Amino acid sequence: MTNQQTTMQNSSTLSYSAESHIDSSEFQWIGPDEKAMEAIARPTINFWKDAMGRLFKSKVAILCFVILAVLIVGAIFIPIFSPFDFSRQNVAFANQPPMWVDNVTHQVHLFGTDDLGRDTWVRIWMGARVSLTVAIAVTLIDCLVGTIYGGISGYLGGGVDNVMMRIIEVVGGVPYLIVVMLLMVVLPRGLTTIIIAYSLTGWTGMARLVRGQVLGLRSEEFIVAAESMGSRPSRVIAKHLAPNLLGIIVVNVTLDIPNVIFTEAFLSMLGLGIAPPQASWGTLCNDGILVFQMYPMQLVYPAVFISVTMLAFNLLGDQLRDALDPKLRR
Amino acid sequence: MPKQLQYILKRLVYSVITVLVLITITFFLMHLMPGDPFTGTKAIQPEVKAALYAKYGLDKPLPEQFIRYVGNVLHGDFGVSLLDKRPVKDIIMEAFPVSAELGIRSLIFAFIIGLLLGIVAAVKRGTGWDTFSMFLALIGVSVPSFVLGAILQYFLGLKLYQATGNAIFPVMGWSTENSKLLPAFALAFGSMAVISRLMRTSMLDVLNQDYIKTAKAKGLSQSGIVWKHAVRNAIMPVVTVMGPMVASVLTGTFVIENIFAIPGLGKYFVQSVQMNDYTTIVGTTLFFGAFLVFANFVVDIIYGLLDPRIKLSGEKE
Repeated sequence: MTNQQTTMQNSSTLSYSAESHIDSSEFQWIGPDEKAMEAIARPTINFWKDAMGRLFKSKVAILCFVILAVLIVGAIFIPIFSPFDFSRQNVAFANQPPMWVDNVTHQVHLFGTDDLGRDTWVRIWMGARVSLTVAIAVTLIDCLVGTIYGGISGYLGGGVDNVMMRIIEVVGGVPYLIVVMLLMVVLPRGLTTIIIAYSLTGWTGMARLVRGQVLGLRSEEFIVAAESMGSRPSRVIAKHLAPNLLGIIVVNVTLDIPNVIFTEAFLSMLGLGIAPPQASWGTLCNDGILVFQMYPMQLVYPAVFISVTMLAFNLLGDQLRDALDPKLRR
Repeated sequence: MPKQLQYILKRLVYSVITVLVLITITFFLMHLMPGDPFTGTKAIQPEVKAALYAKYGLDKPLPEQFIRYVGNVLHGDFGVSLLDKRPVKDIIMEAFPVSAELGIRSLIFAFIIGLLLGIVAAVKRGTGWDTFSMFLALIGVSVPSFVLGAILQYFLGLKLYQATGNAIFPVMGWSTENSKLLPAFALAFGSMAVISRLMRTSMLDVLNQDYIKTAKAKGLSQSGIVWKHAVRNAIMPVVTVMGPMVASVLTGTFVIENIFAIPGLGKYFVQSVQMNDYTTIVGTTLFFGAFLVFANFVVDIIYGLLDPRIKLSGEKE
């Protein structure tokens, strides 16, 4: 401001001096405006706002969000408001094509019926409930256990870290699906069993990842500074470590969910899925494959649902990773 | 070399411990199962039952039973199938080579096609080739192998047969060369997608390096740069995922075998799940798990020997 004023003054004295005399005494020195100089011109954008801004600029990410929102809302409400019950059998109506109107009640079976005359549309959304519940629950448990385990291991370091990592080497070395198969055979079939079996060894990946990050972060200056200023470990973890870990955890949770959906479907194909009449996308695929050559649509519907969901989570994970990558931050 | 030997030894110790843990888990899971091996349709007299218990060592304390069990398993004795009274070992010996062949075919397939797709996509970045291979990769990561298998079976097996009158790709079985193509492809597709994506990223990274510019400046041909300089350096990240990939492809055989009616381990597994044939279930899974641990061990060693730059202390982070 002041600089401008003085230059204005100079130029005006130079160029306008012939026509009208402007005396320098008409101007006064008001001094620098300290407040204006220090004022923040734009609203502050913290890391998360920045990342989310970048995420929502991508059309792919928005599309993924919309798809996932539709799936979740659909899974909650469609079975409630549908005229059909997912387990009501009617053998007279078995294996009907899509958009079939039954001749008694004149209700439309949007996706047709299965080999027991159950409405496929409702069964798919009930399957969405099971599949998505399993996927989200398992991923959250894995994430929680893995983060705590990896965090402790990386933060304490030294001998504790050594022992904890040896345990992970062994637990992580046990083939994941093998343990799940064994557990599913032994334990009673049900949602809880599936969740327990899946999350028993699944957390090691997250633990390794978090431990690596924590190890890297611990030697950073801002952690050393916080510690030398007397911050308690709890504060260092909550205020300095956690925010820096959140990005990588969120990305991995997003990328783990499709894996769990796949695992569930895979085990259902082996006959180790949820017990009928309950359905998941995996068991629906399994039922569909049996009659695929005659009624291909019974496989196509659950397969499309699985594929689209996995695709949406995978793409969203990729987009999140790009959005959260500090190297891309302006 | 002593350092590499040390690395190999260390991996070996881990693998052995892992297998022991696996055996322990199976042992205790067997004990968690309801009922006992001699609860059948016929009522058994207490004396007979006691004799049977004594014969199979079931009257001994748990630790002793456990040691006996570990010993049996290490000798390859997984018990007798409850279904057809054959030793589980025989079933495994018969079925495993089929599963292994399917798995190896798929792995070779996945690696060759995946690498080629990744390389082409990176070299021709932004062109139709790139879009095409990344589209394939996207499908590969989101369409489960069993869905792809069923679709291939329907169109290339059934529909093609109906259209042309001769079965070019048999719908099921494991006999002729052609019958092995569809299952191997269906199983390989997912891994192929992962490999091509990884290879593309890694190639793009390498192609931006200074030594590639130097090679270009020296006037080397495009193919010389790509094959001699870029691919060799870009392939390492792909080798790192080989371990998990081998495991996932081999496990994937379980499902693919059932779709294509291939007489491998997976087929026996599902049969025994349906029939509650616990010894076969546990035997095949345990064997398969141990094999996976072994495969992982081999991959780890290959990886350690292949790249002198990795720290052989086992700290991969």
